[in-house]
Amino acid sequence: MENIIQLNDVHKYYGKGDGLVKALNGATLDIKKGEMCAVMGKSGSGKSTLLYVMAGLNKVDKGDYSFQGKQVNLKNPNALSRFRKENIGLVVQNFALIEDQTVFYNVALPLKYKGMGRKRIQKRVMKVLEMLEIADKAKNYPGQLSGGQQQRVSIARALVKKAEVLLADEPTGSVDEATEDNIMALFRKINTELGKTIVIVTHDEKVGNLCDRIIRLSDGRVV
Amino acid sequence: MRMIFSQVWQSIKKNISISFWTVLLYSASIFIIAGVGGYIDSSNQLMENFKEAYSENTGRVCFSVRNEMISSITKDRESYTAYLNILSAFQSDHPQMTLIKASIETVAFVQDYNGPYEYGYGYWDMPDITAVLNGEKYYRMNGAFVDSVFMEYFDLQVAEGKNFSDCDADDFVYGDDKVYPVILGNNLRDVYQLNDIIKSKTGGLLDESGENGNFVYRVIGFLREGAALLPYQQYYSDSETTAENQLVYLDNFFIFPQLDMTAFYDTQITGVSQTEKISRFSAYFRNNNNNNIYIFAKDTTEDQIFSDFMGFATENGLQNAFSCRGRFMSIPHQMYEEMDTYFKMLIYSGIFIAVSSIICISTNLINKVNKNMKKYSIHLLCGAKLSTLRLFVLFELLALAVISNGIAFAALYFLSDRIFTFSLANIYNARVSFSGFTVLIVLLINLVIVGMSLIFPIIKINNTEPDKFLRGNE
Repeated sequence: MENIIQLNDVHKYYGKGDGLVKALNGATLDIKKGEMCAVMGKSGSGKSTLLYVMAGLNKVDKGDYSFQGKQVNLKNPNALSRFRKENIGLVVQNFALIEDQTVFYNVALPLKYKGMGRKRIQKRVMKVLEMLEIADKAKNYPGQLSGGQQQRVSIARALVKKAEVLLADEPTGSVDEATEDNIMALFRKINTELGKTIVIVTHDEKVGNLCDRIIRLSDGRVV
Repeated sequence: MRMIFSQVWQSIKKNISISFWTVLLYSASIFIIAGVGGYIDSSNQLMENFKEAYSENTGRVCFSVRNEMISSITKDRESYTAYLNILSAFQSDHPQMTLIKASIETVAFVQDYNGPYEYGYGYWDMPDITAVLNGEKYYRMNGAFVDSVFMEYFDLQVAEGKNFSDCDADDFVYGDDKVYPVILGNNLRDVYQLNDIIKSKTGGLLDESGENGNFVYRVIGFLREGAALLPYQQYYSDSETTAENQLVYLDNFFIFPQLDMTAFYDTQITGVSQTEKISRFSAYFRNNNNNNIYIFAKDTTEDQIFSDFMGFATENGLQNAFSCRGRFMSIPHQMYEEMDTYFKMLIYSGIFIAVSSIICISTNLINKVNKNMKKYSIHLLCGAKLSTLRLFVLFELLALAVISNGIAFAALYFLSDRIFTFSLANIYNARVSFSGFTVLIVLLINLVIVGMSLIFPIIKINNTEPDKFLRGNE
């Protein structure tokens, strides 16, 4: 299988002088297309930073990032914006939903930024919500949903723009065990049925074991 | 409808804190304007009060009061009257006080009189004052400033020595060590001899022109016994009057050349035209009006006399009457201090509240940004451009600032006339009013200030990476 993501000697630092933190210190890895893998490591090992670099949300201090064989311009904010819009779906632990907007609005947001028409948005959002079995919650606000439902909304938002890669930062961190199983089953379904590449950052061995591969990080490097 | 009200209420609740601080900022601005404007307004009012009270107490018209005087005039007419009464009472015990009144009249007159000068104005009425210190007798001067024509007009001839018109410039010393001529009244023969050197002392005051007030005079002559002048007021109103009781006898007077000393040598002795001499007349008065508190003595102990005099004045709160040449600094000092403190307090408290408000508005906006950063980050991960997002944030903060200013403006527009005018007017009788226009100016100024307080939130937005708000607990 071809590589969809390639990181080469990526460095990402926070702070300056004595307070300098090397979140990523020469991380190098490949992720195959259609793969479902987990990134694991101790707290502070840089796994979330790695994920946000892959998502194009963080600039890096040094290193190369290739997506589908093409170099991602990590210095240009507008290029990163386009990259995120087209290629990446992101799911985070705290769901990152806009509280004062409905489920429909939250899921439709990426499509609005893509400039899609209202009718197409309506159609596609409802299709994804149905697939994730939360179509009846479209008019609800996030605060009216359970943790598992909110995470499904978050996944729906990541899926709706048909991004090749789904990145998830501790997606089961805020839900109970039963919901965790459901969410992981959902990711597996998305991976197998839709062929999406999925990268999950987790510290939970059980979640890691449900993935095809585990990438372990320590002190900002892949080990 | 209910939903609309709910939304409006939510919006007000969200902005309540920032609006509160903005209202405070407005109040602070108004305090500052009140402090400065009120000071000016009340000073103008005080000037009018002073002129009125002055006229009533002296029977003379005060055309206007010099700006410098305004700063030290107290707040209301009662105070002026009280002040003038104090002066009168003080004067009865200390005749020197007449000198002060003479000074007031002179300044008020010279400052405003634009017509041609008459010779009579060269006369300056001052009482005979003597002081005994350490067993020695000192004479305070009775001064008249005259020119040769003036002397001829009143037939002021010298009984001994020379008149001004007869003296030669070569008789006197030039430069910094100038010695000026003086003619004395007949009674002063007991004290001075012809060619005696007399030192004048202003009590350490400086001349407006920057000259030290210490002058040295040489006695060039003595007037005939019974030499007299008409007081200028009588002369002005009726030039024909010669009634005995209206005459001022010059037996105890020092007669000085009327022009400033440079002019004296240029014109008086070398014979420049009379017109020029007269035109310089006012300059002489204005620049030398504190001559009237000169103390003449034979030795340097005049300082002690002046100290004694100043001490008494200070005890009576009148130290400012003598503190500054060319100004009418004559109100009881503590009254001035009190008023000054009041307006300063307004200004300082205004500045304090303004700074606090700016800090709090800034903090509020930063909190607002923090709260919204998660939302902005979500937009970012959904595909928003960072630059668009920054514009959006800026717009939102500006909208917030404008709403807050709107609320503050409306509140103060309707309340200012009732609250601020009332309070200030009642405390110090200051004519301070706040029109809608004033508040509008405050609005514009505050929009600039609020704009400045947006700088920190914007810096924060620029320096924060969005992942910070998306991360869970690692």
